[in-house]
Amino acid sequence: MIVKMQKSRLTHLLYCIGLCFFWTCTGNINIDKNLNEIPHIFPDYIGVTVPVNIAPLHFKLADSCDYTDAYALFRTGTEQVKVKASGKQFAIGESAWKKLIKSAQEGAIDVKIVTKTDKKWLAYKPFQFFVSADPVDPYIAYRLIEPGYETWNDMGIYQRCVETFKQTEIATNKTMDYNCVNCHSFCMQSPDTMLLHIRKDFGGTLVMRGNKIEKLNTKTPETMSPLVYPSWHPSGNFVAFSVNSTKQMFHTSDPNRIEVFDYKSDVVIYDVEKHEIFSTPELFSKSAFETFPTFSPDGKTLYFCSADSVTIPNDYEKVRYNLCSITFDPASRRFGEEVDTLFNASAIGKSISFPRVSPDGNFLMFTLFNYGNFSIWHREADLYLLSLADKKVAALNILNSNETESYHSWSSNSRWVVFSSRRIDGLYTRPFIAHIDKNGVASKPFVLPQDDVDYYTKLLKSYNIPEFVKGKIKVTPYQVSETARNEKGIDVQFKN
Amino acid sequence: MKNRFEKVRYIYIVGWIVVFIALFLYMQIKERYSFYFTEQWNIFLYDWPFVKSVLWQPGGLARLIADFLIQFFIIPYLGALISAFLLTSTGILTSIILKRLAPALHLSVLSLLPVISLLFLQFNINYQLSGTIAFLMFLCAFVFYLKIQSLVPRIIYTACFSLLLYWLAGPVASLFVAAILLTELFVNFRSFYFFLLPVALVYLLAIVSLRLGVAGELKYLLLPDGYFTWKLQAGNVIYQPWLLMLAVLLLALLFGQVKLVKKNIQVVGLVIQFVVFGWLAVFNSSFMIDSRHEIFKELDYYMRQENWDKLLERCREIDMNNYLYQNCRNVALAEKGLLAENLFDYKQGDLRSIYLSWDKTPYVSVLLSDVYFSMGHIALSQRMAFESNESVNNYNPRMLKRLVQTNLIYGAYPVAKKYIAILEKTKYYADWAQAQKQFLEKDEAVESDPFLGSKRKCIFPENVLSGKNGFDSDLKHIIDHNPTHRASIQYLGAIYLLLRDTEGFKTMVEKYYNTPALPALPKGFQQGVMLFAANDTTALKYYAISDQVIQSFEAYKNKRNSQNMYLNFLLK
Repeated sequence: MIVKMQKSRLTHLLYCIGLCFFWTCTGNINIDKNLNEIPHIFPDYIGVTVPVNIAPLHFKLADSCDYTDAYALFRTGTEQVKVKASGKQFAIGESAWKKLIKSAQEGAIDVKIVTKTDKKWLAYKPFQFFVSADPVDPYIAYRLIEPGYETWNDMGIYQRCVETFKQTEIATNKTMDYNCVNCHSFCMQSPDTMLLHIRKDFGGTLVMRGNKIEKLNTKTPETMSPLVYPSWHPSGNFVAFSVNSTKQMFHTSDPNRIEVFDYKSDVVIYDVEKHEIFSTPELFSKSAFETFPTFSPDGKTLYFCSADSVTIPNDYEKVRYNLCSITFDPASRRFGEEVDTLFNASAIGKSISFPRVSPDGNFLMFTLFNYGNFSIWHREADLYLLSLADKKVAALNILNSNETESYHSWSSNSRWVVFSSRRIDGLYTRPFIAHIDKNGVASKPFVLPQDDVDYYTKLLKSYNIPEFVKGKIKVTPYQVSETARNEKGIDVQFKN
Repeated sequence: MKNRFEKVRYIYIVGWIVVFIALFLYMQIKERYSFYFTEQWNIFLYDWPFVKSVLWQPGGLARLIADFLIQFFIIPYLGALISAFLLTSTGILTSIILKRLAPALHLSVLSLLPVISLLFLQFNINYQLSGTIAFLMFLCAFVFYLKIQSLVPRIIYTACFSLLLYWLAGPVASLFVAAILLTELFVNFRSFYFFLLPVALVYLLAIVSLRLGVAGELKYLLLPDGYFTWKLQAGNVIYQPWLLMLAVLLLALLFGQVKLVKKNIQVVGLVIQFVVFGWLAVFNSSFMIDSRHEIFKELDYYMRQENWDKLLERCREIDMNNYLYQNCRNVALAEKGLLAENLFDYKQGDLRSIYLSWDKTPYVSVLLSDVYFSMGHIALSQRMAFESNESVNNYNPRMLKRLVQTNLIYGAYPVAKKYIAILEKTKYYADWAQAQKQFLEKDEAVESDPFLGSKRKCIFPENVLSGKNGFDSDLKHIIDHNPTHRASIQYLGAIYLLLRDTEGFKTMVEKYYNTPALPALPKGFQQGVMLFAANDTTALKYYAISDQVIQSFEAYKNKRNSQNMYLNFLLK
């Protein structure tokens, strides 16, 4: 027994010696100088919190950093990996990363960068990737499209496995005569229950449940437009939608570039089984713009944004949406008679969009900005968190930047959010993932890792509506295309 | 015998050199602006992930080679030279095939039929050069096929190359298997059914591609439609090269067994070939070439080069009954500071002579981006550049340059840097892109740059939504904020006059005359003043209207000069 303990201590001692050696003198690297600064890396992964099942974080030093050779040294309590910069990128292999991140569960990975400049090795101050034991949903679905404007060419809805770098297509417009595809939405992050819209030729809403795909024609005489922004009822039997009359105009001088506004809008509920839509005067009012509906996880409350209707476009800067809610009984399809205003944003001169409730029902995240409803074109747009227990609202400062933070969705375990941010270049939205603990405290977010560090620089499309999904979506672009092309579609009826 | 062989070989070589020179001269003289025009709609990035992403698609290699070659089209003569080379190679390979299948016949002229078809097709702005590259790849594969004598190796080769060709060159694989099936039908009838296997393989691959979501319809995977802009309907003309190839192949196979042909029949045969060739050339040149497009491509080139004198010179030579041309010409006039002076010295239609209605095509978007940029309306110029660029998958280097400029002007440096990074990966825009880096994050550098600084001053602080209060209102804001940007007031006055909005014009002149924006009235504006002040001598004096303008107006009023272009326009 004593021999065994001694052996164990000896092993530990040798390991520590080895680690020290590794850290100060790795292979034939003899550090000439230790710098008292943390390096600037892209993407900014310094101090981020990542899930244990995330793909490797590849990064590079800032362009201003000049060197002839460089290494990144990764270390946890039990693992260490040395990665040589290749093409100026530190790209740790997937298997090495998996071992490393597993060994760091609920701890940190220390990262030290050493560079060779003028034949001397310089070591930067180490930084950390913090690892959370909370796993993240393995897939994110999003649309890739150029930011805004009116024309387009290729666009599609894709899914990306966050555990690897693999991206696959769900629906692309090249199979459908380059129509617009948009507004993908999932029922409680389920890959088996989703919908998306196709506009123009072959237009309609495709609802996928299991292996069944249904095409709907959703424009009715009673509603101003086909169905637009969706949110599934947790039962999968209903979907709340907005109907909107939307236009966009272009700023001459404002850095926000584009203004998108609703001339009018309402909220309706679609009954999946009966192919009917219905509403209530509280959601279907001419004196107010109602939009961005979302159900609570218990399905008994419908949250939405509401603003007093004004003359558009003249008074576009006066439109301010509040966060409201109304009760809903799915059994009788009846709504409550009163609308609660949960957050009166207009009272503080602000407007709200994209309310999203965490699946555990504890928090509601929303976007707050100066006016209007299309927060993606508002650089001041930031994310806020409302505690549904005490109705307290707090800015998620650690998630926000000087650029737009807008669309967001929760993971199925309520511990992660993915949100769109324009912080990298001010125009093209990228998906950032952040940990939110059970008390609503957020950690520093990280951009969805890519194999090629320059991927985001070269990609001239935005990530639109990033949504967590619990598994791989099985529907294929072919199925979507065939249904869209060949099905006439079911005409949805408005029945109140 | 040897001498005769040498002589034939000599004629053959000289013949193809003549074809090459003729093709080069035709394209250089008649269609050179098409190459410059084509170049701006493609990009080749010296970047492995880019190369990999293109190569991975069916037909990827053909597209990659096409993109690689198109980048050189920006250099004078190279477009015609490269195209002449590709087309001559097509002709040579076709003639090799015909010679092998019908050695006793002289079908060299017929081998020019696919060439003449591809020649005119490539001037269609929606046709992709990858179609021609793929055709060449098909010919190479077919020539090798003809060299294989034994059946089994021939079957294996055809099966393997049909797959390879599908992956590397795309839909042309179906032409390959069709041509081989046709050949086997005539040459080895008893075993031709073995060659149904490659046909089935290509079809299967296309079905798999369809299932994988590569395209929405089989025609993009099996037919020449795959080499045409997918968004548009190609029309039957796209099938011509393939059908002609199969037709000449059929002809060679039909008469391939003829051993000896009398000389006079050979002569008649050659005459018939020349007649067919001539007819096709004339038909295609009239059917596939739209002279209006060719003129626009030329004017567009001068716009891009900012060669305003040449543009105006060309406009004097052509019928200007076209808004596209008028837009180009008015930009040239504005950039030379002559729009207000010479507005009515040129044919004008209406407001669309200044800026066209946007039809959402990438071509008009580019033009409008230039027009708005000339006006100083940076927001709309940026918008049109973006619209144009995104409708061609973001690979219009000309518009990427514009986006670099507009973002530098707005001080949106991280986005400008992004576009610069992309252009840095090109061959011919890298230097320009690197030069723009000096402005990144440096407001002072932008403001002190004569070009960017002047445009930045056009961004007025009191933001409005473009066009919300009328386009003229936007221009007034620009003029108020940057009176030295002369094009803006020239455009504003021209817009009022072409709209026959005398009140708007009068208000503008009253507001800006004798200010830095309009220290003196140019001739076109003096002509405009006559509309509201002809009888007001004080006003005429105040605005310093020239005697010539006054006399011209009076003559018109007295019916002495009804040919007066501007008064005919303004008063009728």
